[in-house]
Amino acid sequence: MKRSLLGCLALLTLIGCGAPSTSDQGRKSPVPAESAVPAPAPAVAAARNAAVQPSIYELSTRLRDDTGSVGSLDRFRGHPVLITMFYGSCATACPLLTTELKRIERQLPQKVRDDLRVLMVSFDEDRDTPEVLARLKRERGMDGARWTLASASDDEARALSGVLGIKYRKLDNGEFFHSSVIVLLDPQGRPLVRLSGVGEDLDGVVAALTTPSS
Amino acid sequence: MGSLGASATVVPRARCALACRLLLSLRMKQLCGSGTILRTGVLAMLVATVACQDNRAEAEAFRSRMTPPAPKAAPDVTSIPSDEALHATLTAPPNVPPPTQRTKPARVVVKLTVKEIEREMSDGVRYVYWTFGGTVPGSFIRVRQGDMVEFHLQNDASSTMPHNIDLHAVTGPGGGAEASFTAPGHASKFSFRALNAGLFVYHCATAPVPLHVANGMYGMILVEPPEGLPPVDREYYVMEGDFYTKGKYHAKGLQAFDMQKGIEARPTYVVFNGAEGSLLGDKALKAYVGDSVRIYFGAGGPNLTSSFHVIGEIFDRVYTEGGSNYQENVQTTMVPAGGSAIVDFKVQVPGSYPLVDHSLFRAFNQGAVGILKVEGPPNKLVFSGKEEDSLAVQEATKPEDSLKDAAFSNLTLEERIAAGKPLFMSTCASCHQAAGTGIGSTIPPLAASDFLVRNDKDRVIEVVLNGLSGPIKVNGTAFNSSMPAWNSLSNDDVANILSYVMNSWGNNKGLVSAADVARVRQGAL
Amino acid sequence: MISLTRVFRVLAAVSLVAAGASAAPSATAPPPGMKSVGPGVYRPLYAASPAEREVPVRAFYLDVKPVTNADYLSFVQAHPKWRRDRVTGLFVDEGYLSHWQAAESLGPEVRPASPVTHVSWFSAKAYCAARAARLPTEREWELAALASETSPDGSRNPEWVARILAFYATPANRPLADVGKTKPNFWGIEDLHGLAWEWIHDYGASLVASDSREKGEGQNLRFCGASGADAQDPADYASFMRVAFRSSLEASYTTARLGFRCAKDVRSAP
Repeated sequence: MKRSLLGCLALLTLIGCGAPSTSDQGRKSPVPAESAVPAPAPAVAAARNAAVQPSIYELSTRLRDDTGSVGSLDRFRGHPVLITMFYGSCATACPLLTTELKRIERQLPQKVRDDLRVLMVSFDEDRDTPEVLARLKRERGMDGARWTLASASDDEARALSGVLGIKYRKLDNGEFFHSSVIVLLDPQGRPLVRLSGVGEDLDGVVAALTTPSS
Repeated sequence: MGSLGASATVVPRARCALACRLLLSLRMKQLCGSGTILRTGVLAMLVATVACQDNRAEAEAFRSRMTPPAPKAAPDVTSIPSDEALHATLTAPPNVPPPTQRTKPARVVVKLTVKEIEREMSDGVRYVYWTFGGTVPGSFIRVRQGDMVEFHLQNDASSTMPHNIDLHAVTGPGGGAEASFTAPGHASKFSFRALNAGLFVYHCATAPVPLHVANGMYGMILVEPPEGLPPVDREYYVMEGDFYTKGKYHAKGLQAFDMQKGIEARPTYVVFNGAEGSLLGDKALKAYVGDSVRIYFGAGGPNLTSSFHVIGEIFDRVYTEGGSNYQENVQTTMVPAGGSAIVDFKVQVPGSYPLVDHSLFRAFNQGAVGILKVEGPPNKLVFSGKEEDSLAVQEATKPEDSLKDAAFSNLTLEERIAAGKPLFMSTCASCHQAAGTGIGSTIPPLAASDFLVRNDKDRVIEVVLNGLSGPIKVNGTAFNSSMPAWNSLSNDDVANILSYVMNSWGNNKGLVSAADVARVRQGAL
Repeated sequence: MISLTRVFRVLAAVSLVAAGASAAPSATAPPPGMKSVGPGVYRPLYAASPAEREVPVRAFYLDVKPVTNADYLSFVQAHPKWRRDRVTGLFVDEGYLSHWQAAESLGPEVRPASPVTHVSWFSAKAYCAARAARLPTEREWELAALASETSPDGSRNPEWVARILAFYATPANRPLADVGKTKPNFWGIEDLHGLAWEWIHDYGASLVASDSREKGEGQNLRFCGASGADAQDPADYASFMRVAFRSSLEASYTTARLGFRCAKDVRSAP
C-alpha cells in the first residue's frame, strides 16, 4: 500500500511538475480566458491529467519494423511499453537514448522486464530500412525479443511525435534535430511517465513499472 | 624554507621577503661550510621566523581587510520543507505584500497569469501592454531565503504570444525561462529554491526578448534575508521602464511598438510603473511626517539604467543593487537595467517629494516623475520654507546719466492711477502684495497705512527714490527691513505708482505729479 | 530533400474522414480557392546548417484565404467525429472550438467569415485531408508569406517590412476580422499576416530552445544538434515571433488566435 502510494506520488510529481526544463513540458493544461477559474492544486490537476490520459493507440500509425513487416502502433497492447523516437544515423543523443532505456531495464526485476517492451520509432524512413534497423539492433546489443525498431512515413511520424510531444526537424543533409524523450505507456497505451532529456532521474519510471496498479 | 614557506603566504610580502633572502644567502654560504656562517644562518632563520611570526597579527588584519568575508551559512537544500504549502500574496504596484515574518523556510506557491492588455500610457495615448498579473510592473512577490517556491505561470487564452519567466532570484537554467515557456491558454509549473536573499527583477524571456520586456513584462521578487529587513512604516514598489512608440511623445491614439527606436535606445516614454502619471495626483505615494519609508525600486528596461533620486530627500540607506549590504547618506543611486535598489529614508517635513530619474530630460520630457506626498505638521527645525522673498538689491544707474529727468508729462490723477496700477503690480506687488497688504512683520502694508498718513508726500517720494532701512512702525506693527532705492524709475513712473498707491485700498492722498518727484529728486542731490 | 509528392493518409483512427483522392485536381490549374505559389527561395530565421541559409522551395498550391468558421462548421457537420463533444482527447485540448455556441452551431458571437480558431494540429490536418489536401510545410508557408503585393520577396522593400512589423506589433485584442479584407500578395494569397497564426505541418520543427538566449549551449543532450543557432536577421521580429509561437505548441493545443489553411502538391512534372 505504501509502495503504491509512493509510486503514485512519484508519478504525480513527474507528471505534474515537469522538472526537466525544456520546451517540451510534460503537462500543459489549457486555461479558459477571462473568467478563469483558479487552477486546481497541482496534485489534483496531475491526478486528473493522469486519469484521463487517452491512449496513443488511437493513432493508427503504420510502422515498418526491423523484420520488414508492417503493422500498427498498438502491436504491444497488453504490455507496458517504453516508446521513443530517433533516427539511425544519429551520433549523439540517440545512442544515449538506448543507454537510458537499458538503464531503466537494469533496475527492473526480471519478471517486470520480461513483460516490458521497448519501441523505438525512426523518423528517417528513407535511410532506416529494415536492414539498417536490424543491424543497429545487433550493434547496440538490444534484446531481440522485446525491443523493436521501426520507421514511419513522414506524415505518420509527425503525428506520433505530436502525440508524444517530441519536436524534430529534418535537415536537407539528412540529419535530424530532435528532442530526446522517453514515454512509458501502460498496457492500454496510455502515457504514464515522460522523461525529457537524458541523465534524468529514473525513479518515477521504475516505480510506475514495479508497483502494482491500483 | 619549510615553515617559513607556510607563513610566507600570509605575511605582507616585503618583510618576509627580506628575511627569506637573508636566509637564502646564508644558506648558500652554509653549503660552502663555515661555522660562524652557520650560527649566523641559524640566528637569521630564527630572526626571520620571529619576524614573520610577529607579522602574523598584522597579516591577519591585512587579510581580513583584503579578502571578502566568509559567506553566511547557506540555506539548507537537503530537504523540501514538509509543512503545508503557503500561498504567496501578490500585490499590484505600488503596494507591497507584508513581511513574511517567518522564522524558517517554507514551501510557497506562486501563481501568476500573463495578460496582454490595452490601456493608457499617457492622456489619450494607448498602448498594448504585455503584463504579469495585469499590471506594469508585474505583481510583487515576497518570499524568504530558503523557501522552496512552486511557480505556476498561466498564459491567458486571449494572449497572442507564448510567454515565460526568468526570475533573477532563481539559480537554474534560464532563471526558469525554459521550464515556464507557455502557449496562450496554457499553464506551466516549475519549482526553485530561493537560495539568495535580495531584491530581484523578473521578466519574460521569450524570443524576441527585448520586445517582450519593452511591452512591460517585468516585475520584482523580494527574497527576505532570514532575519527579515528592518521594519519601516511604509513600503512601496516602483519600477522604471522605457517605452518605444511609433508616434512622438504625447501623440494620441493607439501606439504601436517601434522596433527601430528600441534598437537605437531612443525611448519615447520613460515612466514609472508603466504609464505617465501613475504616481501623480491622487495616485501619488503617501506618507506622514515621521514615517520611515522604503521604496523597492527596479529598472525594468529594456535599455535604460536609472539615476534614481527623490527630490528633497536623502536616502539614509541604500541597499545597492538590491543586495545585502547598504550604503548610507545617498542622494542619487544608479540602478542598472534588469537591476534594483532598496532605499530607506525618513520623512520629516510635509510636502511633495518628486521621485525622478535624474537624467533630467527623461523626468521632464518623457514622464519619469512620480510624487511622494508627505502630510503632517511643519518642522521648521529641519526646513523653514521660504523666509524672505526680497528682490536682489539693485542700486541702479546714477540719475544724472539717465533720461529719467527728461521732460515729464502732465497727467490727471485718474490717468496716473490707471497707469500706476500695472507698474505697481510689476514692481512693488512682489513685496507689498497686490492688495497692498504687506507680509507679516517683514513687509509693511500700504493699504490704509498710517505711514502714508503721518508722512507727507515728499517723504513718501523720498522713500521710493532712496529706499528705507531700519526700525519703523506701521499700523502698530514693528518692522525692521530694507527697502531698496528705486531711483532708476523715471519721475513719471514714480508719480504714477505713488498716485495709485496713495489713492487705493483706503488711502486718499491725492495726486503725486512728476514735477513733485523731480523736485524731491533734485532736492536730494 | 523532403519528397512532396507522397500521398498523405487519413490521420484519424476511424475512417470517417473521406479519402478524397478521387477528387485530385488537374495538374495545370489550381483547385478552386487555391493558387499556385513558388517556386522560390527563402531565408530561414534560424538556418539549421550553413547549407540551409537559403532554401529552395518547389511550387505548390495554397488556399487563398484561411479556413473560416463557416468552412469548419461544414466539416464538422460532415464528420461528426470531429464535433467538440465527440472528439477524442488525444487530438485536441479543452479549448477546442470553445468559442462556438454549440457543437454544431456558431452562435451570434462568432463571425462565419473570420478564420476558424481554437483548432488543434490534428483537427486542422483532418480538415485538409477531407479535402484531399494537407497543411503547408514551414518552408511553403514562409515562402508565401515573404511576398509583398508586388514582389515574391518583400524583404527588399522597407515599407513592406515596416508594415509587416506593424501587424505583429499591433494589439490583437479584438475579435478577428473577416478573411479577404486585405490585398492579396504577389501570389494572390491573402491574410498571411495580421489576422491569425496558422498551423503548419512541421510546427514541431521549430526547435528553438524555449529560452532562446542560450544559443545552443548544452543543448546536445536534449536536442540532438544545436537548435539554438543564431538568427540570421535579429531585426526580423516578425519571424522571431512566428518561430517562438510555433515552438510553444503541442499537436493537441488550441488557442484563440491560431487557425490554418490548406496546401496541396502540384501534380505536374517538376
